[in-house]
Amino acid sequence: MKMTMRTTKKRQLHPGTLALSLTAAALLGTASPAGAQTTTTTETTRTQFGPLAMPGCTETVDVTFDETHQAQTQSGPNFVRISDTFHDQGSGIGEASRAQYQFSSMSQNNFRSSSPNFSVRILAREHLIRQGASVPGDDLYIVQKILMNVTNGHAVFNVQNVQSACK
Amino acid sequence: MSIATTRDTGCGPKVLRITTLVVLIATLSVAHHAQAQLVAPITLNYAASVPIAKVVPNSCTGGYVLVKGTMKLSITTVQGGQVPFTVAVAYTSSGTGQDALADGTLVVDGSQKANYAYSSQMLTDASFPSTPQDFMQDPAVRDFLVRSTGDGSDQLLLDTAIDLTFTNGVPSAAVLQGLSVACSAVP
Repeated sequence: MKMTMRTTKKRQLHPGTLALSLTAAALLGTASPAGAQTTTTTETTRTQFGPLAMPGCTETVDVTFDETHQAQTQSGPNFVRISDTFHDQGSGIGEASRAQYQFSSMSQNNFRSSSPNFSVRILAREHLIRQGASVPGDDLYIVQKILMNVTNGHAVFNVQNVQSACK
Repeated sequence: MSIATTRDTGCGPKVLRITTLVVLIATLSVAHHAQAQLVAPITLNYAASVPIAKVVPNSCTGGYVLVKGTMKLSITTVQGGQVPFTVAVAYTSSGTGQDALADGTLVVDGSQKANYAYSSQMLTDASFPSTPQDFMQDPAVRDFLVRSTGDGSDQLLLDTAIDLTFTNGVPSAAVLQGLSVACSAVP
């Protein structure tokens, strides 16, 4: 299940602001075209996964998790900047032993491009922590392939696949 | 030029045909070479290594950890393939963490726990419709610091932020922006 919420702010620079921006741009050594418009969009996408029967280290583990991407995209003439904060929270249950696993994490991906159209695939790992006493050899991870597709400065996130890995 | 000279000397149509053929073959050869250059993808490999040594707060225990490790980057750019421009980066990290004081002095009074260890490989790949003038990526490179005893009760999540900028498809030096640490042990 996937839910998306989006807010957009467009900003046309006023003459006073423009003068200030041009001054700042001159100080920073970058040029900003007159009347340049920047658009900042914040989009939150929440996806629920599972239960997924994943081959574990000692047994099959049924994994369920939520992934939230909060992407802030700033686009203007000749650039797009994306800051994606993603949060994963989930749990697992060993099918045979009923052992409990849990994980929770938050990380950030940042990108900047002169091209408004591009795509990036990222491999992200989660470590499933077995609750209670540790069991030797039970060091379970899930690895997800996340695709970020940017079209005209608009980023869309999709998890392409989820696999388990035993370290 | 050679065709005009042939005409001026009056050497006849055979010489003209041979000269024309030579010029045509030379032209086709140059054209074929140029086409081959356009079609054949150009693959370039780069490597970088970033040493890491930093004292970070251990939010699981309230103490500090001295993290020492290395992040190796293996970068491949391909220009002119099926996708006009692609960048693939493999981030390979490894290191250790030791219980320490805020100033980096190791704890050796017996209260220290087994060292943390970490290692991982993270991959990214980006595709573009043409070589971008400017592209920067700073993905979350995650490592899980787990005590060498396997005790996960104070496992740490370490995010290493490294800016990697490409100008007209050529990478510049990888710059370590910082480390971010969180307790990832779930109570």
